[in-house]
Amino acid sequence: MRAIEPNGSGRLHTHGFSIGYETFGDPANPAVLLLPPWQIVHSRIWKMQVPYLARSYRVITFDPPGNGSSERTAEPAAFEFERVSRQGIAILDHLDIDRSSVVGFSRSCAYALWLAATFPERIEGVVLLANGVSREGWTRPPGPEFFQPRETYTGWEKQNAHYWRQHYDDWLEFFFTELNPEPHSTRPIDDGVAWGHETTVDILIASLTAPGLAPSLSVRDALARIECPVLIIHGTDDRRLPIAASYDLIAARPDWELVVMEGCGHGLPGRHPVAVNQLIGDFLRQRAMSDWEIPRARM
Amino acid sequence: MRACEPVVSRFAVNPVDGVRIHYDVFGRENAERAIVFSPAGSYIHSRLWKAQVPWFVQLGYRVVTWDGRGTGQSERPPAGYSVEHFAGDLLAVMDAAGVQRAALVGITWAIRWMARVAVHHPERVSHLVSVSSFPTNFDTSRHAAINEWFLAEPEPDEELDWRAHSMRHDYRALNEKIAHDDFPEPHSTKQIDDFIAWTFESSGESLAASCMEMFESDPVSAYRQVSCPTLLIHGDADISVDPAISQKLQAEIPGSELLVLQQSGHVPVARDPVRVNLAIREFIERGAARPATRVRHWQRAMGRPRRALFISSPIGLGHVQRDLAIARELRQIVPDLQIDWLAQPPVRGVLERAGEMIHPLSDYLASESAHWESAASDHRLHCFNAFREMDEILLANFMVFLEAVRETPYDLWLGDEAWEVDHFLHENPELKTAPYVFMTDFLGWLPIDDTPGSREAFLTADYNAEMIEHIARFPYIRDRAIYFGDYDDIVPDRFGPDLPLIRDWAREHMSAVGYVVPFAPANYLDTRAVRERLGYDPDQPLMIATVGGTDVGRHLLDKVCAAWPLIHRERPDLRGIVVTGPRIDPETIPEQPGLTVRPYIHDLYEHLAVADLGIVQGGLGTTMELTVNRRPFLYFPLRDHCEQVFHVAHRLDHYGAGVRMDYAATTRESLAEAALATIDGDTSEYRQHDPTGAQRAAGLIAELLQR
Repeated sequence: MRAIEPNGSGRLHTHGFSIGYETFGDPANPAVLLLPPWQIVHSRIWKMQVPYLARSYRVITFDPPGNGSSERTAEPAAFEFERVSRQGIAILDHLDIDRSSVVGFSRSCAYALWLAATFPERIEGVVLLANGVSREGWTRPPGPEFFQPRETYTGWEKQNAHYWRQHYDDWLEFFFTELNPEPHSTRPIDDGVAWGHETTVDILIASLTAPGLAPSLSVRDALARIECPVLIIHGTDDRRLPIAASYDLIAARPDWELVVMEGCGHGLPGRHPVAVNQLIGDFLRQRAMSDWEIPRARM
Repeated sequence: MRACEPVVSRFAVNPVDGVRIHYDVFGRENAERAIVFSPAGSYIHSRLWKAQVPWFVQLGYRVVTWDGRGTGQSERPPAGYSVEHFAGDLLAVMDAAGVQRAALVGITWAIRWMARVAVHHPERVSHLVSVSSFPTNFDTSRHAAINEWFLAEPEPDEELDWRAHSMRHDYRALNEKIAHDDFPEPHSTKQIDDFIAWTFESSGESLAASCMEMFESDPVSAYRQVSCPTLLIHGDADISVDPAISQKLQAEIPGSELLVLQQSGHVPVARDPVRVNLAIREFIERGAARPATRVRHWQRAMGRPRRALFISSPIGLGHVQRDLAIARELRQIVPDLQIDWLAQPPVRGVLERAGEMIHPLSDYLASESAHWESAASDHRLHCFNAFREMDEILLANFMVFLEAVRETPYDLWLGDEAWEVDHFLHENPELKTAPYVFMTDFLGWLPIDDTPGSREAFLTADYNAEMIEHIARFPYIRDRAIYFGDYDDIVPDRFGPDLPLIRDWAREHMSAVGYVVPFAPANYLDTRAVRERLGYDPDQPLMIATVGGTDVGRHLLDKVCAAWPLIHRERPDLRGIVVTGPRIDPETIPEQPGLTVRPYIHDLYEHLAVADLGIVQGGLGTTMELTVNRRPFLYFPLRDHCEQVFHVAHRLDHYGAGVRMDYAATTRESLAEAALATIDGDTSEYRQHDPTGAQRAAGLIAELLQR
């Protein structure tokens, strides 16, 4: 059973596809949008955050196209960067939410930054968990080796279309074990594998190779535009997206905050929920968009 | 020596009357944020803030303090002590110190000029913090009378008071009196000595002058125009300025907050500096978010009652009964102990009926019982898998626990099988802020599928290994670890391959206090008398079947009802009672001669204590209640439930108690046969139970509160 059930849910046909979303917490509270990362999982990756955040915030989650309660489609257009990001805004529109904070994890850190740069009037603050964006680019598209069959596959060579088609179970096991290198991580690993079985290999391949996986706006331009506060949380043992990317963002924006999680892997929300919850909660409480800060002149 | 020396120590000049005001500046010149501490008028100078300055400097603030005109190193004009003068002094100091915008912090009268600056120069004030505020005389109708009293010559036998005559003629004696009034807290000698010493750097003349001129203050309505975030702090034991004034002021200033310091006096900046510092910082640095309540309370440590937070596991009602027994014993040893319970249904209801205090955050606990029910079917409950699937609920409930202990500074955390508290405290040991007691009757996950190398064997061992490693690395998290039972009640197994024997590990890491039952077995030796008291026929044999508080036992109850006609045919004298519990509708149990269906029996253990046959699940609580009272019983461990299948069965074997039944293999005929063979059975060979468990547990716990 879940710790709390959503108080609203639905499927929204938006930007060409059907997207499942859920809401939690008092609608009168400030909103926080938890963005879905890669299609290999879905919105349940936020299961350790939702009950805590819903005590003080209106929490919105949605599933990525291709997994969870969203449309199971392998159509390349479904995975376009701007389309997926704008689906988040469409859900906010649908729920009549003017302003929201956003939390990105892994792949969706890029969506969060792009949204903050593109819709500054809508996004109040950004939290990035295990971020992969750096000034070098939004994403790291797979190289040609992704499509080349091999004799043997060891380690990250398993990120290969042929391997997936033949050994999907093993790929999932490998992938989520790499994501959670901390001892005693069986539970988050099993969760990930189970969520990975809710999508298909075709969808995952399309999600990595479709056109339009990066927006037209450059990272540098986005970094120059973002005005809202940004908190980055990254583990030093992240084997999926090394922490160097987050150091790079901080070098570009020294006014942002980086919390380095020593000895932690990629799967921060599931494996270190108490620390992550407190960091997100404290950030949302302290974010500096205060109208108190603007002195109201009076004579 | 000072903890922190000023980087600038100069004079500012009030542009209106040219009076020189001494100020000190501390901290980095390029600091982004500034705080200006105002003096207590012409009475106490800037050293009043000695407990605040160093910390805010260390936090990176530019800090400014100044001496009020008439005191310290500032000039002492014969007149010119109005609110307007002080407001001008504050602005002159900010200008001279190069501080454009700052948080203003002050005490007593300072609110008068700080508010005036905040209203007329809002661009220069980011926050307002006022301690022990004395803004104005709210009751304007009494102004004239008070003024007259202040100036009047006192009668010869009148006590020294805050009046012009005392100030001018008995300044030293007056200060002695005021200092003692201002610090009603015990053990305040240093603060009192400081205070008296500082008063000698002022004079009775300037004090009287400022009292008279500042008497005409802004009207209350002026405070409504304050638009910056405002925090008021006031001790409720302040006898110099009525704390009710801060309540009134809070009502006037839009959006302002009030922190009430319980049992603090007039000068908490000196007497409770840590709390005041933290409150100021939290307020200034918080940003836009607002606390849920605008009035908060903090109680001085030495004024606090002893308080414990008891987290009682919702799995089964057996735990709550023993928790109540331990709470009773604990109160015997520590009579002033106040216990709040963090508990969810059905445990919560039992506690409420017992008159216990439920922590309000209990409303936000995610349901563990519903989860267990959802994981069960047909007398089967894989407790390890169900526990593992519950990770999200456990975490959600840990976050609620964290909220509770951050809100209230408990002296003790007690967790009876509070697995979430135990696990996440070890994962986040920096969150431990109180003595913590871990209690359990269950130790060591064991696989139902014990094929070597099975996935379940791997997982259970992994969970056990994590717990062992947690405790090895952070031995200070559990201040007490209490096992309810004897070491020999523990299964002979290992925690897993290459892991210690559970029993050996327990001997080193846990205190075994014996099994705790919520009653004195001696009270149930006279079966006839107890039966009479409970409304039974003392001579009629009694069978009770019960399946706990969930609907997991539905199938077992159905089997018992099916067997009943066979039992009743052989023993028509027998009275049968079936207890459905809150989750099974008694209407769904068919009526039968000789069989009574009851939804709930309060203190069921009393009834079981006089039964000639009990038919129960394999849960530890109920089986041990029967064992301790030496009753014959059949028990059916839930299938796949490693605690019931291994741990409870081992313990009952160790007691030589009960007849273990296999649910799947039991037909109505074999159940009837077993019941008839067991009823009235000989229980004299049951191992003796030590009834002092609750006392022993309470004794170990009380050591953490009293030394």
